[in-house]
Amino acid sequence: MIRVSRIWEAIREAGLKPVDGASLAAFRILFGVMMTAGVIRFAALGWIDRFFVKPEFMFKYWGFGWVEPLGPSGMIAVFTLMGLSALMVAIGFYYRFAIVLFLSLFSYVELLDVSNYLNHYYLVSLLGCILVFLPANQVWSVDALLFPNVPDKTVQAWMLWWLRFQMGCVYFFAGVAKFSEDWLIHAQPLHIWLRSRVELPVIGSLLQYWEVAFLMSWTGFLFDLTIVFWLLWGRSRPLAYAVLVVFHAFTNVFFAIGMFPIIMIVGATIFFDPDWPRRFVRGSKPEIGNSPASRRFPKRAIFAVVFCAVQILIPWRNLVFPGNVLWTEQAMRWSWKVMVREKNGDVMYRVKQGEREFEVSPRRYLSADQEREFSGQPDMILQLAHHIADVHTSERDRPEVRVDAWASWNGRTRARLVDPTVDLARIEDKVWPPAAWILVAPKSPPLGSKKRFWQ
Amino acid sequence: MRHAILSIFICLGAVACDSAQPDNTAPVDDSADPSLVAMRQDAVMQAATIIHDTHVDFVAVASALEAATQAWVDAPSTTTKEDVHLRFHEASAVWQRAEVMIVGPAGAMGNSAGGMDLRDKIYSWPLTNPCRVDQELLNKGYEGDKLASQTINVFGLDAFEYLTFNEADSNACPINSTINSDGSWAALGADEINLRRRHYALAVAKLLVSHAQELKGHWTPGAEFRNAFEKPATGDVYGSTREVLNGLTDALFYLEKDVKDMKVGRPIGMIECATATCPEAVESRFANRSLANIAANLEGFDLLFNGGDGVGFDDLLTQVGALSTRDEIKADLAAAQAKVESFEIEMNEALTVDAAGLQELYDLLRNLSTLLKTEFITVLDLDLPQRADGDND
Repeated sequence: MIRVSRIWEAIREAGLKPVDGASLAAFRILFGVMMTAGVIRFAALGWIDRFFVKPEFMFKYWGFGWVEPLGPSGMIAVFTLMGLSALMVAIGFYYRFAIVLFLSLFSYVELLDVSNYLNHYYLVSLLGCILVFLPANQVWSVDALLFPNVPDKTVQAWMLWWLRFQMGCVYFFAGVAKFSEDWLIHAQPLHIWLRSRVELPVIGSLLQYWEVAFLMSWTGFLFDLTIVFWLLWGRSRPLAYAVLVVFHAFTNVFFAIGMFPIIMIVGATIFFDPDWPRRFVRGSKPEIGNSPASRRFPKRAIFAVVFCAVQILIPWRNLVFPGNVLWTEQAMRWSWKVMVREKNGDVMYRVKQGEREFEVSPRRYLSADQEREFSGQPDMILQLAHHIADVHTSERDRPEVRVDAWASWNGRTRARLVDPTVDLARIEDKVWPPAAWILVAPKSPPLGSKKRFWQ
Repeated sequence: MRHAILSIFICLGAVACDSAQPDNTAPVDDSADPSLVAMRQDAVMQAATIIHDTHVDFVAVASALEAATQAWVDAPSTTTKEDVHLRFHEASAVWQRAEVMIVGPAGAMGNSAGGMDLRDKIYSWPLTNPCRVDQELLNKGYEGDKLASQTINVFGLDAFEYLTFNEADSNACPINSTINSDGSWAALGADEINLRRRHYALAVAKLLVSHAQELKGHWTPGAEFRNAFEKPATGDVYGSTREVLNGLTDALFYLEKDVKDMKVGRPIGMIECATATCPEAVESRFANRSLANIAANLEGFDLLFNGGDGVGFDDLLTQVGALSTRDEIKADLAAAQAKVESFEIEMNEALTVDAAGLQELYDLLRNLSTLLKTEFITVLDLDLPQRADGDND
């Protein structure tokens, strides 16, 4: 008991210790600039229209069925405000208001359509949420210039821990997700992806070889799993960060992962010492010794603990669902299973209305982007089945909707994803219990698998 | 240290335990052939050759169609008209092969790399509109150079089919449309209608040859587009060989959306049809060659997929070890081709007397489509059609 209290005392002392707010300020500035650039890029590529205006049907998150798009002008207004709020975050102008506005708008956009889910969008939401609770405007902000009542230039150490924890979660759980036969033994899906990029200059011709994919799979696995610890250790930190930059630069060359590499490169700066930006920016350093150390954690620190606990638990939740999560997709989202599957499906609905039976193509309701995402994800297949049933429901009866859904996953022969005998119109969309209508993953290895190296 | 080593072995064991499944695929030693780069390039070059040759063939048959139509205009008779019909069937047989090769300039502008809408100018199905053709006929919109600037559904093979195979003196417009309500169509009389149809058909045939030559020109060796297609790294039209292969894959997917769904699925009432069958949705309502068109589509698919006598997608599948995918696609394709050949009647008739046969054809095409949309694009890391680049993770 005494030991526990001593540990708690040590944690409290270290967590409440005032540290330079410069790294948090740099994080805020870089985050704001990235998000501003991201919004401009999104609009410039015509993606507002493509993802939020054109689709006739949108997949809803469980419990968020009420979130609807605002129409062309409304969505442009949302993105304009999002960009402006991100800019305000960057310069630290009415920071609290700006970050809350940014988070609200970003979350709204993300909740519009499940088919747009990306891990790095989720990460942006989480980082935005954390920033709402942190005084990131104490250094290098317009607020600090305008309002003398903005507190001193220090922050409590636990605030940096929180951000480090979140960044660390992404890497660590992405590493855990790679602890699989496909990734470590078959080098899939990396082998598939690399051999379609053999025309890249210099190294391109090497990418056709399974051995290269195997080596890169293991490198990626070990990198993701351990990079946080190398970043936390002061002696290895500079080299670890350099490796991190090279790693993400490579992934940016190989894959269309948008802002993800830059978000991770910028986000990982939070692992450096709290005063690292002052090496590059002249200005007065805060006198850490003079800052009063609080004796109690603020209430928001309790929120941070709960937040972190949830973040630790969520990525493991697939363990309570039967089957391979990469096939069933149950508990796939929000768990940092980054770039671990290449999955393509073909879905056709069979509608039985009275004596008449006909097929409905998902293309009737979905954009090409939506169809690509949806065709391998059973919960979305169920949602569209319900929509099709709604559309074809007459006064007298609701039709039966079954589905021919096939998928090929990480280079395997195709297999049925959903039980074709089940009337999906009568299946309720539930988080629990596990969906019995999702069929088991194929057991065969990926096509063209090499003999295992020990055989 | 010993604990650490033990832990590593336990972990490796945990990963490997799943791999104790029966291995039903033959291991492929792809390191034995270091030429994937060359093979992909060969596949692109061969596809360019096939597409070019097809367009050369089409220019020839389109020119023959124009000549036959000219002869019909100069000396209208049953013989000259039958010759026009014969040449139309020949031209359609070649063009329907090309329908599965809608790549680059043939593709839709803004939707397809290098797209110039040339396919729609040659054949606008399913956006056909016989009523619009009749309106142009009435207004003599085919005279001079006016036709080329009109909407795509008043010229091309589809308009030609309507003008030359439709024997009725009536028009395709609703009874309350202006050309019927003001009596202007009725005032033409049968002879004038037939005269105008001949001249209109000739104008369409001339435009067809012009568009066919334009399309062929883009695929001629040394032409700007052909160079961009074969050397995508220049970035003029395509950014990479993968993008070129994606363009070719998009073309192959004609089999899914157009052939399976629209040419077979709709008429038999399986898809987007409110009644038991939709005979009005058959592709070739006037020349009655819907199944012949499908046979030609399958022939075109066969050429592009297998690369003719050169490297094709089948070889790429072999190279990546997806032998079962390659063989299944070939087998399903052969079965679909055999099924189409087995019909002794055309689709209009088959809808009533051999619906089961058409359903069987639909199912075969469905299998083929599923293979394309799942294993084929997965193992070759290709994209579904019309899916522009986006972010992933």
